Amino acid sequence: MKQIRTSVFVALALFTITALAVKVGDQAPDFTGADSHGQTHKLSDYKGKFVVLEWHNNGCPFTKKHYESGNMQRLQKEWTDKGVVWFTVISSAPGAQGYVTADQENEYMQKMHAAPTAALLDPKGEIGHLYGAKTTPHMFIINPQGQLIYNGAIDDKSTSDPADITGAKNYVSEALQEAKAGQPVAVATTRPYGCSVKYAD
Amino acid sequence: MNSGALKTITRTMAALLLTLCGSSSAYPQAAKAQHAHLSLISEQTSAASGTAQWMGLRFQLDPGWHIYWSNPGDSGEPPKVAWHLPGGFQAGDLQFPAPHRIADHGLTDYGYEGDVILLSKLTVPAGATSNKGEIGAAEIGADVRYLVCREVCVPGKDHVSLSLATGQNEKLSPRAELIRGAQARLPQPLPSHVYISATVRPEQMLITVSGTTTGMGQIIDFIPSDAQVIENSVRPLIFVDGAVSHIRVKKSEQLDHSPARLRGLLITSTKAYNVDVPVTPAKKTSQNASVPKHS
Repeated sequence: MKQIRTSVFVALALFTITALAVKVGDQAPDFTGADSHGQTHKLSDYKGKFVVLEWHNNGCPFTKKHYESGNMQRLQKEWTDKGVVWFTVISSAPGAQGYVTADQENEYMQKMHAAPTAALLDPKGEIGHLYGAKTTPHMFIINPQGQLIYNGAIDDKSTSDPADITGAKNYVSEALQEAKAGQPVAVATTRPYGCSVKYAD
Repeated sequence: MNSGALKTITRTMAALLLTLCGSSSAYPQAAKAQHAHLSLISEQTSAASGTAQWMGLRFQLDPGWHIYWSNPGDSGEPPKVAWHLPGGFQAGDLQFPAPHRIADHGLTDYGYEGDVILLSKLTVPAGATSNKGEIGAAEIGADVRYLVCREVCVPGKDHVSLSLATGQNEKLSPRAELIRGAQARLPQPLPSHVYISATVRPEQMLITVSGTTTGMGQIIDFIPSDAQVIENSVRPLIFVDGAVSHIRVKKSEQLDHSPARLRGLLITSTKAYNVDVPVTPAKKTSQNASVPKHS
């Protein structure tokens, strides 16, 4: 039997990962960002508090699912009332879906009764790339010691259908409840779902 | 006039109207227009008692727009269907053809562009024919929810239906050819005498394909069936050593444990094959040391 010994190396276009995603248990990378009221926020200034990061795009059907139903605003209100710092982060590039000026974002938040601590405008995608934010929404939770304790989806129903909010297991609320009670976070990493974050290409 | 011609005219008029309106902004059109034309087709025009046949949910997509595979990849959502069937009829789970990779702002999704048909097996109960042998009709309806994307995503909701004749023998539909084409594009079981195994290392998983692989075509890709098992944006490295092929995929950075099984599609130059193998830890002495590493 003839065996033609071929060592064919089929290396297809190898994509390099531009940013390593932050892993649960890691120290959350520090950042400084400007909010829609022109105020600057530095993550490390919030040591001692839980911080939630919520990636946002007001035109994305998955974001709309959680805003038009009032689900996201309910979460923002509930957890900021309990002392949690909540940053909505907008990493859409100018011209891309979800990009907003400060005035447009303030108008949107007022209309939607959104209640985050602040909406950070990240048109260059710096904070987004730093955290490896993939989708809208994509949720991160940082504990008072500055460690990442949750990275992933908002809940366990990865659809754009608002009807799926009822009965969904909300990972963010569960993680915050557990961490605030001094317990380990049972589900700390999940696959984020939604639209791609519309970074500048 | 048949409904197909009518739809074509309606669509042409809609396109003309959009052109006449002359809106230069892509976004408002994206929100209004549907970007996908859905229809329900079947293998037969009849629903003969005690038979089974394929139905096809056909998506004809506007250029550049896509829908998603059952594992959408890093973003997106697969289509979902709720069937409305006469008593005793059953529709099987949607069967998806092998998808393509779709690059999306640094992410990788799995889906389809152009003209795609998702299949479902329709089972007709033995009593579908009325005992008088009358000719009737079985109405098959489907409520479909889907996400169609091109830079932006638009959720779609549609009702499609089909009327099949009952009380008749089986009769091929003019759409049977399309259904056969869709069947041919479904992933297939691996040929017998092809062996596949998977091992896991801290950062990668290695799939080894050996045995009688002639006729399978050249292996060009591996696409995972489960979300969050491998890094979608890192193309597999494929190393062919004689009759043995090694496929190195990068484990998901978000995976905190090794999966018990690796499920996915082995894509070759000619076909797609279903793979479902247990994952075992890599042995220390391995011939695979020569396989180039991901940089």
